[in-house]
Amino acid sequence: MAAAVLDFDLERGSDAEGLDRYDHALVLVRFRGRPVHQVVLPVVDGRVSVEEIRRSVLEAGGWVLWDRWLEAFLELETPARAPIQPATVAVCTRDRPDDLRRCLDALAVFARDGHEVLVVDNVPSTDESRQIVQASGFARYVREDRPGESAARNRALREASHDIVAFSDDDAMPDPGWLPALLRNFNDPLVLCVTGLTMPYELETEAQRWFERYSPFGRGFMRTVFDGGDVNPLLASRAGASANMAVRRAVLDLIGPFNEALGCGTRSRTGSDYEFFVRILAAGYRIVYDPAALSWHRHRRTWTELRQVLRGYGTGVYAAWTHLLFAGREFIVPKLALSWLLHTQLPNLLRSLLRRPGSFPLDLILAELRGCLAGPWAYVMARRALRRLEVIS
Amino acid sequence: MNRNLPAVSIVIPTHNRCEALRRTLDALARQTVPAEAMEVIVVADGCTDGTTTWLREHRPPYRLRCVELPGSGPAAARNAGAAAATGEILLFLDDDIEPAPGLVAAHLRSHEGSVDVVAIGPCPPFLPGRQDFWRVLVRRWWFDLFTAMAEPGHRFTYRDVLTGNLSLRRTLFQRIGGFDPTFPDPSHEDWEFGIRLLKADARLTCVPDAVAWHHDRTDLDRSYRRSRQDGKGDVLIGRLHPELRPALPLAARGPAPRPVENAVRALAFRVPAAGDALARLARRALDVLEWLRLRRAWRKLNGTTRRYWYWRGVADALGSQAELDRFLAHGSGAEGTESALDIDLRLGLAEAERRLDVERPAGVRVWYGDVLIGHIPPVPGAERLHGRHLRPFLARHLGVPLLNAMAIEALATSTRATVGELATAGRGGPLDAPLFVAESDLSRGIHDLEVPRGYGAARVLVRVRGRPLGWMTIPSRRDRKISAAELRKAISEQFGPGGWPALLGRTDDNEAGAARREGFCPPITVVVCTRDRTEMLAGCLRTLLDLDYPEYEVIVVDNAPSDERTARLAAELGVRYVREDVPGLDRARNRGIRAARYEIVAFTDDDARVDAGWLREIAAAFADPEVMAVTGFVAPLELDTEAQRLFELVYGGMSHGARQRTFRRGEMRNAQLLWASAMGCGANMAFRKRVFDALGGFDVALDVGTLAGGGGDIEMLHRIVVSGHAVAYRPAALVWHRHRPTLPALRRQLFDNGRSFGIYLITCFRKGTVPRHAILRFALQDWFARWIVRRLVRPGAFPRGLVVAEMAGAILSPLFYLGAQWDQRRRRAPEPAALGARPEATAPATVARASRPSRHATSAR
Repeated sequence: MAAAVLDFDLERGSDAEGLDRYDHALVLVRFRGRPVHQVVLPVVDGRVSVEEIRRSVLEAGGWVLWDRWLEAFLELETPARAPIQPATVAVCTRDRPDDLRRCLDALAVFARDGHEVLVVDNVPSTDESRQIVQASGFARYVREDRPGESAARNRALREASHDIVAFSDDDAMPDPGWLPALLRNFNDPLVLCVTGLTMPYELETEAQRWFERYSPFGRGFMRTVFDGGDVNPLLASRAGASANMAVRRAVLDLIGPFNEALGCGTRSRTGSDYEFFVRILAAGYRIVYDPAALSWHRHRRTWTELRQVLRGYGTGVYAAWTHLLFAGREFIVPKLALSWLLHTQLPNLLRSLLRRPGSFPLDLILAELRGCLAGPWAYVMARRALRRLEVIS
Repeated sequence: MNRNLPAVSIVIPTHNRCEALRRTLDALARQTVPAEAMEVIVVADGCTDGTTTWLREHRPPYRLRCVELPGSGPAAARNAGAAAATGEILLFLDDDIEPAPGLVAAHLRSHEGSVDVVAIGPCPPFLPGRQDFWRVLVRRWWFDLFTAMAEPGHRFTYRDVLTGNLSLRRTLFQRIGGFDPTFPDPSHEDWEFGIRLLKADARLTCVPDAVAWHHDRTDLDRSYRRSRQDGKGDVLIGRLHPELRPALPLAARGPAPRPVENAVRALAFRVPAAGDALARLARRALDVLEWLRLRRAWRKLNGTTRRYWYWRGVADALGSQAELDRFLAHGSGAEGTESALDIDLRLGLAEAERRLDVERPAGVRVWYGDVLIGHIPPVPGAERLHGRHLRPFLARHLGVPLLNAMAIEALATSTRATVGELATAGRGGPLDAPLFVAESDLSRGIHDLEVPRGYGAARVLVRVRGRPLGWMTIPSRRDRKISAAELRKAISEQFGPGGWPALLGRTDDNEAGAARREGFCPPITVVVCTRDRTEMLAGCLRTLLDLDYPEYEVIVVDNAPSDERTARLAAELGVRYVREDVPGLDRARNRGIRAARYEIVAFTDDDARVDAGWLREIAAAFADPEVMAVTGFVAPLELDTEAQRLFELVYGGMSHGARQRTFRRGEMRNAQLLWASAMGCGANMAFRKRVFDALGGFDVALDVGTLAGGGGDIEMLHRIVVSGHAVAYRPAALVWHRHRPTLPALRRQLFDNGRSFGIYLITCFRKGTVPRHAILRFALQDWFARWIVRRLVRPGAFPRGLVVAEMAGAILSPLFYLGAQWDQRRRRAPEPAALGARPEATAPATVARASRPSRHATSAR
């Protein structure tokens, strides 16, 4: 059965009712608007009670909630400390009009606050996206004809009118507090990129629930600073994903643009954000993961799409590693690949083959492994395609 | 701004850096402040590269003057520049920085309306081009320095005073006495200046808008030379200000042995030639590591090399390690001797901040009411505390103790706040000395605790509105008193985290339900079964007659008594008296049930004392119609003897924790169903009478006073849960029980526990209450192997002899079972003569052994 996704405030929340379709619920718990916890609870008689949620949150303990409480008690967060500068919100899209419409609805609140909303349409096959953007009345439309999300993002960075550019995927719906929460973290001049918490928008289908279990976007509820001077840059995937992030436009000068041979829309399928994060950290700058910047992402609904996505992850990671190993002289890559294989992939595979309880479906694991194998060659092909494109233009 | 007098004099010392100076002066020409308000004084200190000639020809929009010195060092140069200045405000800039257009204006703004401000602007390094590891490191160091300074709660130290971009009033500069020209190299004369500024209580502030990019040409080799100068400079500072010696990096001694650090220091002091060679080798190795992208190794090696050069500088200045030890030994913590200020956060944060702003202490003791939360320590070389330091410090360092203290207060004062996840601090405690048992209810206020003579420590049951939070052991001092403040501190440390949910200020249950439960007070029958222990029974009955409950009756069931004293006692106290002549606790209980007038029947033992709110809590649990039985918390009445402490603190006593639970079949595995002793025990339990109609009474085959040796209570609880009813465990329903005082009695009790639990399992097996294979597995695996044999192998603090007694009981239990069966068949014979025929055969130690009445039965509470 499907799972409900609930958004619950610890102080003002009330019982969630009418959940008869669901047998359990994923509850995002907030305190004073900030996400502090998530719990999975059974749905009893179509409802999830306030007491139940509170009890499980308080029993789970966790410092995040109390840190927030203390912060509120000490009135540490003075909102007017640094007036928020206007920023640009960029959405890169490609032939997903329904998702784009929903995303723009969520972004309208930022446009009202004086931020710029930019939609980059990547090699569109129809005119629908342009019409949606024009109908919205507040967003600016840019068409990018070089394929790939990296190309679209680089275009957005060049087109943006403000110093900080926040990126949202077209299948994500940012929370109203999303942009201010991202922008707050740029007070530190060494922070080049801020990522946020991405929660599932719905868990209606089997595929969506497995995605959330297998490779969730969320990275916990603790704000974390990743400093290139302290951590191994290659572990940048812990910092989050590009579905929910903001970068300083100065990155173009400081570390260069997104790698256009990686990412969605190329042969490498993904990996562009990972490689970008690695470069930020390797250059000694910082990435902040701030769960206060909340966005809801609609995961792929069908099993086929899910398999494609996971295969894409495998390909993207290996493509990025190929690049980092040969172009970046990061000799730790083989070690990382081996430890991923030995500590995660093989045990998962084994558990799945033995049908141990709680193991992942075999075809998902195999899809990811197939993707990994294809990664290096895919990267070579993507580079070749890119060069050909450059020659033509 | 004064029309004629320049408001600001900018002093720039320079030494053979004409190109850099030109960039600085050009940038000053682009300031937002009008040029006539500025005066720039360049102090050319021993310049031989034509700087002075160029300056004479240079015609900037502002007034430019040049002072020439023969090479006297930066401190003397700045002093000379300041002496030549006419402006009210002095702004010191380095010659290699590029001020942003708003810099001068930002500095001037920060001095508006105050005379003792020292404004520090950030001068981050300008590092274009390739980002090698060294540049990454140095950039981070600079940026972090200024980011930290810009934080509102930053506590400035002399190490924040950098003269590359700093302004202050000329009067303040003169009062301080300028820079100390005895500092030879450009090393730390600014820090030394900062120390005197802070001693004069100048107000250091960071001006984030006054940005100046630092065109630093430093590289790794240069930075090592700088580290060596740092070492020398630190010694100089320590010589001038001995009170800072303990805070200098050269005094830092980690808690753990640091072999690398020690080796590096020894090299620098003893064999510098070898050390220098190694350091140069390390410098080469760093390049290799960088090429290999081995970041962590690079960072470590770089850190070690840097430390070496630092110590080399220290060695230059001090000569030998013996000298270093002498140097450090003579440093005094002058500021530490100052008495710290006490602030009480309970009076409000704003009040605490106001006091800090008024009193400006070096250090603070932070209290919440009478609980000491912690200290803000005095830091040598740091500014005195301001109100703005308080909140960030609390958040960063004292969050947990503050939350604890507030949570305890919230628990004590709220009428029905959530108790949430409770700290069940139960097990463990000192075994070697008698423990005084006491209780402390937060809602009734925490009071001083008198500990009688002969006890080294008190074991305190901490409660909130009657509900136990848990136990804590607290030593008493010589005056045999534990003060309320000490108690409160210990309570807040131990139970604070469990009480944090109370801070959220919403109730655990919905209000209506709680009110309904509190108003639910049906009449209750209390049954006490006894046998020949009249003194002990008297103590029990007295607490029973004193209950806070509207309507209840007390029945004493006298089980095969040998005299009439119990009957007389019952008559004297006016409680109902029933006699059961067949020996056996379960028979007596069943007799009590038959005699009970009311629908709810509560049981306690004759060696127990009940809490005043006992029946109220039991009734509240019965407000839920599916609950058929209620059990409660059993606390030790005394812990005077070793046997009692062993039983309570190591074996686990009769307590079942502070967490409220409800047992239902659907939510339990078979093993949990069988482990019925986890649900409660006979000293503190209550039932609806109709559950006995449906399921039958206590099983007389499992009787204390028969061969079975007890277990009727847990078998009853097991039967109730298995047949689909709920059993509620309510820790707030509390009974104090006097444990067996002697080791032989304890051994006997554990033997009985072993055999009665075995017989209970056999009974379950016979009746098939849960699948039989589950019982078999439970008996062998969970009970025998994990509970008994494991403790035999690894006994911990529990004597093996006692485990052996329990194991013997367990092994012999099948025999006893057969014996009990046979016995019961004989007993069914109706002849009363048979009863009289063998009164001794079944007299069990646990009931028949008369004990002295407890010495501290009531004094403890």
